This record gives sequence, C-alpha cells and structure tokens, in this order.
Amino acid sequence: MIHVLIVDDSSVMRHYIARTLRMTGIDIEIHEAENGREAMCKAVEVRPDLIITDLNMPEMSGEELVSKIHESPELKETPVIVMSAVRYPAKSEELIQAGAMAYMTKPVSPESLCRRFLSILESQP
Amino acid sequence: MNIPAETVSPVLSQILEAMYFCTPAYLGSARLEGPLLGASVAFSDSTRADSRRRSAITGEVRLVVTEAWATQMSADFLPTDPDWVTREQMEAMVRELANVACGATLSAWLPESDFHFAIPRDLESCSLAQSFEHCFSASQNRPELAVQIILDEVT
Repeated sequence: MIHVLIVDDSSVMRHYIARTLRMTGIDIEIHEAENGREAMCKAVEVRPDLIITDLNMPEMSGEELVSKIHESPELKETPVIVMSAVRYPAKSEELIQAGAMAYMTKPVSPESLCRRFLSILESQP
Repeated sequence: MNIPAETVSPVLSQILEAMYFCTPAYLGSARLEGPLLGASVAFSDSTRADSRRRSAITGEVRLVVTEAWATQMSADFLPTDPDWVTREQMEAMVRELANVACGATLSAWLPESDFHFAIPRDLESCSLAQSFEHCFSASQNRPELAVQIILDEVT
C-alpha cells in the first residue's frame, strides 16, 4: 500500500488528484491536508511515501512545507511534487534545490500526473 | 495595457480541455445571462525578473461561469452525477479554475515575470452583471464562461 499525502486548500483539487492517482490501479491510501502546517502534522503521523502539494496556500505555503520536510530527519527522504498555477521560472529551480522532486504547472492533465506519479514510485528504492 | 485574445483564448482552451474535458469556442466580448458564479484572484509581480520594465504590474483576474456549466464542469472534474453536485463544490471548482486561469494566462503573457497570487475569493453577485472581455461557449454558441483581466501598472 502506497500512502500519499495531498496538500491543497481547494477541496475539489484534492479530490481531482486523489481520483487521478487511483486511476493507476495501484493500491493507494490518500491522506489530505489543507495547508502546509496541517500537512507537517499529517506527514509526521503517517510517514507518506509521496507528498503532492500546492504552492499558494494560506497559513503555510508549499514552499515553506518543502523546506520543513527537507529539514526534518524523519521526512527528508520523502519525495515531494509541487503543483502550481504559475510557471515560476526561478521558483521551480529553487524548489528543486530545496528538496522537491518535481514541479508541475497547472493545468495538470490526469495522464501527465499519472506518468509523473509512476516515474517517482519507480525511482524510489 | 491589456492581454490580447491571442493569449487568453488558447490558454483557457488548454485548461478546459486538460482538466474539464471540454473544447470551448472563443466568442470575444459579451455579457453572460442567467444565474452565475464567479471568483477572482489578485496578483502582483516583481520587476526584477524583467529588466526592460521599470514598473511592477498588479491586478486581478475575474472568472465567471453560468451555474449550468459550473454544475457540468464540477460533475466532470470530481467526477460525479450533475444532480449530486453541491453549491459548495461548484464554488470551490470556480475558485480553482480562476486560480489556474490567472496563473496560466499571466505566465503565457509575461513568461519571465515572477508573479505572486492572493488566495482566490468568491465574487459578489453584483460584480457578475457586466460585459466581459473574453467569453467562451461550451456547446450552445452563447457565452457560458468569461474572463476579465484588470491590470494596474504601479510605478
């Protein structure tokens, strides 16, 4: 069973991502958080195999979440996909440097999200 | 200063095709009729990404959809039966669509800029009763979705 933590302040976006990942046929347990702060608590609790996070969220942004995960001894190996509505030319590079494994610009089609999800799972030991 | 239809039309079409599985027609300027839902996203940029400009751009992207199309898009997006879509789900879907439309349009317009976005907010019904610059149709050749981009240049 693969544990995936989806972090987005939009409930419909969390639902869209969860539904898309389930299309892969892999046995997945989805955990959800509405912002980075809630996501850190959930991540410590469930130790997810993958985190998919939005960038622009209230309370704690995706950028701050990526930094905190990377600083955490228990979570720093967890792969993180950042999804954002904007194509930040410099920010995506900064986020990868900070520990994110991938940066995807919305709109993200179900096919491209599935492809990225599967390639990250395959790359994990 | 405005963002041309040549930028807005393909960006919105790509979003609607990729995430909502529909192929819209671009209609240009029009007024939407019937019950409507809307959301807006305020934005600002930093000029350090583009040395040719001396001023920062701030503004707002407003997106308005007929309730009928919002219901169908929510049903396709979730996915669920249109009869089961709640008002809350429709409003959340419209906020997310406004967020994606704002980011994708501005990225296409000024790809080297570093934009910052506010959290999307619902539009009051009084803001919806107006003519919009960029309108789209899902199937019936009448405006069903509109985008208005309000730009303020601040020196």
